Amino acid sequence: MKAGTSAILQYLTAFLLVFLISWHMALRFPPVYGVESFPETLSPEVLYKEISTSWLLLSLLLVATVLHGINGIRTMLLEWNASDSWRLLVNGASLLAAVVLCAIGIHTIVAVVPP
Amino acid sequence: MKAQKNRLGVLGSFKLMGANLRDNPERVAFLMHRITGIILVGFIFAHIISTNSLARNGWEHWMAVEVEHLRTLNPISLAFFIAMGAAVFHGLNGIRLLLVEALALWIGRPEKPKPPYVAPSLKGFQRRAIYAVFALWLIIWAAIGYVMFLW
Amino acid sequence: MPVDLKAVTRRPPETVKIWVRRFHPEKGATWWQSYEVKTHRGMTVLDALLKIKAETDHTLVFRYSCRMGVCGSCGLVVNGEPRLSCQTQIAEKATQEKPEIRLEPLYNFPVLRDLLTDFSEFFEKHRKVRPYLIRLDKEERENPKLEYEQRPEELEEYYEYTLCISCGLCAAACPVYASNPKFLGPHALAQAYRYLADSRDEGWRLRLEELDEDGSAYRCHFAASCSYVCPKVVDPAGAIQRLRRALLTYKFRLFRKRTAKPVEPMKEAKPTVPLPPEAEPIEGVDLSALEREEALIPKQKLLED
Repeated sequence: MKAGTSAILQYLTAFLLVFLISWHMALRFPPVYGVESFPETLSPEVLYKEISTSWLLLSLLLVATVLHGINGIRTMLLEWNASDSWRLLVNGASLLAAVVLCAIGIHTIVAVVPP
Repeated sequence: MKAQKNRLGVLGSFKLMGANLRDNPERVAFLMHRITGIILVGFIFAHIISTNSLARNGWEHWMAVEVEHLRTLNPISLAFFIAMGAAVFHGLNGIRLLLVEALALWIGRPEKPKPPYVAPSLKGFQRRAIYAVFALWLIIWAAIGYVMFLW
Repeated sequence: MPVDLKAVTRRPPETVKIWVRRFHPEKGATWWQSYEVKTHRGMTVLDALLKIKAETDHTLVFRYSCRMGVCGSCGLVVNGEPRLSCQTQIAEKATQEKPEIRLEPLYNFPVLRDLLTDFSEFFEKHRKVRPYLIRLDKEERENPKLEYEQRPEELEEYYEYTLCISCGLCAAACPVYASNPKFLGPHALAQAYRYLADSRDEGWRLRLEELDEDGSAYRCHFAASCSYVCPKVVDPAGAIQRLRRALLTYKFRLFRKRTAKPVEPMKEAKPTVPLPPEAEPIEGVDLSALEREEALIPKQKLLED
């Protein structure tokens, strides 16, 4: 991937994540659901409703986070060593990690059953 | 005759932290952005895999194991709390970096040097934004700690 | 860099212990050596090194030239911070409680001997960004007739970056330059932006295509240490952010730039502006003779051939 494309990907996902993660974290604020404490917002009823209504936002959040995180770590690792074999290794491992993490996350969203 | 390599490498980022905190907070923010980024990638791995137990083990296991850890102060909830702090800092500083790096805002205009000889990008609004980022970060992190442990 | 302007008026400690990180290329040995130097008011680190070289140890090697912060060859790391040794007062770094100064060769540059560092990679990277004006018209490039027109505000866009003296302090301070050998460095990227922003330059398409690669502005993460240590307030960090904005806008095909043309030759000779009537000549000066004198640039040269 060209350095410019990678940078644009990083900036676009960063822009998205600012909103998505604020939303994701704000939902754990107890008064949002009118419950007593923070762990109550993780109860089955609340969580199932959240996943089934906003699955699209959650999967967007998942993909954006994984791309932004893995791409960031990849850039840092590529700084260490300039050799081609290292480059290939890091790029391959990043792609694999991104695919695996996305798959696990999507599995969580798809396979969750009503409580 | 052989020249001596003198590259500082990754650890070079940690040079002169005391002076940097006073005169060059951009560098401290840079370093903390990297460190919080690494923490967050670790957290995302753990978070995606642990929430997957919803799909694998069902709700009872979820309530009994995953959520139970967050009810009290223990190493796992503490790690969660640290990751939240990292996320808040990374996000707030990330907003500043988006404006500074991608759009080149907040770094002043090029000018002719005049006393006291401080570069325009260090005098620009981004410097005040850094102080705001640090202040907001501590406030929001404290609020998260309150919600997590004391609510 | 915030320079302590009062330091020159302070009296430094009577004697200062100067620690130098030395390197001997034949033996391959590195060691710290200390020298006691008697100081005087206004003594710089370079003065102290010259004194050591003259009086104590003539084997100590360092580079210097102008001794007044113009040539940029005496860069050193003083107490862990890259500085020009000629611009650093002893009184600024050594206190009465701790009369010690630690000198190291510039970080991130190969050390040839003692405090002498090798700048070839640094200048190679400078060369890579084409630090010269590019004009597309070959005839005009080979046989230029007149200067290019440029507005004052267009000059201001890049003037700051022309002050660079290539001292290498920015590269020594940059945390990315320290870990990434491919990174072009603050100095080269600031110069790349200096020519990109120059309205007389027409090679922006070539420059932006060449700079859209790994190791260019994208690797900068705005630690801004380069701008902090720069002795000439060139602000490389600001230049790199502007360069990156140019690269990103170019990627989206939004980059626009007005390029200057050579000024139009004068169509006819204008009459000389007469002296105001109230002007009184200095005694012994014949004004009418002065007006008849040939101008430094002959009028004929300004006219079209």
